[in-house]
Amino acid sequence: MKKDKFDEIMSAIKMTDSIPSLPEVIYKINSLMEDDTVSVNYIGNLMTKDMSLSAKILKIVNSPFYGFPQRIYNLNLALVLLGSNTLKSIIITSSVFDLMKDIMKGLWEHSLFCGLTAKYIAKQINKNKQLIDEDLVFSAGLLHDIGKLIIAIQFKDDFDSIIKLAEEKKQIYSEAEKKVLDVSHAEVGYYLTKSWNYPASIYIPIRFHHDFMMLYKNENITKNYNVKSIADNKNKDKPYFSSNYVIETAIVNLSDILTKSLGIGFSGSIYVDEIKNEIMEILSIDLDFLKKIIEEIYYFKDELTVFN
Amino acid sequence: MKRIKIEEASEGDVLAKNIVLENGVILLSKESILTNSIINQIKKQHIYYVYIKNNTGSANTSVDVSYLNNRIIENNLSDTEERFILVSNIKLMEDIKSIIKDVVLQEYQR
Repeated sequence: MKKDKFDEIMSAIKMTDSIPSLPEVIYKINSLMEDDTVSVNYIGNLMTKDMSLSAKILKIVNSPFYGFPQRIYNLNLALVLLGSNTLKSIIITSSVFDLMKDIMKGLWEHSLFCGLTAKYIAKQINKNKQLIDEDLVFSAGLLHDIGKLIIAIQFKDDFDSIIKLAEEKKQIYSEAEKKVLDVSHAEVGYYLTKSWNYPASIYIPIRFHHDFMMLYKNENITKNYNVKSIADNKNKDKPYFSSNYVIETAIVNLSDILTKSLGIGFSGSIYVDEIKNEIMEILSIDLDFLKKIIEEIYYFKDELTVFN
Repeated sequence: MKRIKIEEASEGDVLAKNIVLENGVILLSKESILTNSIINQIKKQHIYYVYIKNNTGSANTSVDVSYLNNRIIENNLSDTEERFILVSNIKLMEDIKSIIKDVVLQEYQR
């Protein structure tokens, strides 16, 4: 019997004390970031107080995989260079996932690798086009499975049966999830990140990272809509702006599948899902492009241990 | 470069990669020459694999290493095969699988 847990899960999201306690510092930083009168130095100094957190942030931004052109030694500078959304994602993911290591081994590695892959793909697509915000897709990739945490903590038995079912019946996680619960981890993640005041460019890719075709149809996307045609028609003086986030969602979906394909970390099921042709088309990429990406990201897997 | 189990390491092996602890501290940097006491130290840190340079150690250990390497490659390739079973009828996914297998093979052949 499938359990209708939608209301229960939603109220769990609203009750912040049932979610693994986000460090106090996040709430402070969150509200300070929205206040224009507070200086970056002040926020940086606040973050520096949490030593393990600041060490973790600096390790990530200085990793060759993150590919920042210069070394960053202090958090104030990191804040200016990376933007508040990226830092917020790194802080939230690393603190929440720290608590999750025992409950679900490998989810942190999966999430981090997916975020870094998403950023790397965005960078390769951008080249000199500057269409995609690389740091936003990094955040979306990092947080795409955050809904699994809530389900694992709040409904541990259901979560265990999803994983068991996926293993026994050889299914991808979201297929097994549908048989156990009425609400998906993607929906939970969507509500959660929306309630944390993240922008739509982050919560839309989280919502649709397994339902790309649903978004594609909802937004009435045609074959003419793709990275190449957007870049060709783009007004050079104006930055590109999209309101449908189909490109960002395609990148997160692709990165998720590539991370699983390489067997990095564990996100509930080992099985790889299909990369839809529409994803290749909308990103204007081909197999050669994927080959270069895979050859590059494969060697970054050894870097992951540094972040643990 | 070869990845070997720490149990298979022997005196005189030269590290090909840094050994990095969970907290980010570099325990040993690459080019370090292993001694029995260093190997014991590494084991105490719960590190199971190290990367060593080729053409080091006695002829005997290199036989062991290549046997071990083949086992790792076989496991890696069959894991990859297993992960792709649900998409085996899709051309793009089959192509991706063979790219990944090539990358795995290349890593151990370097």
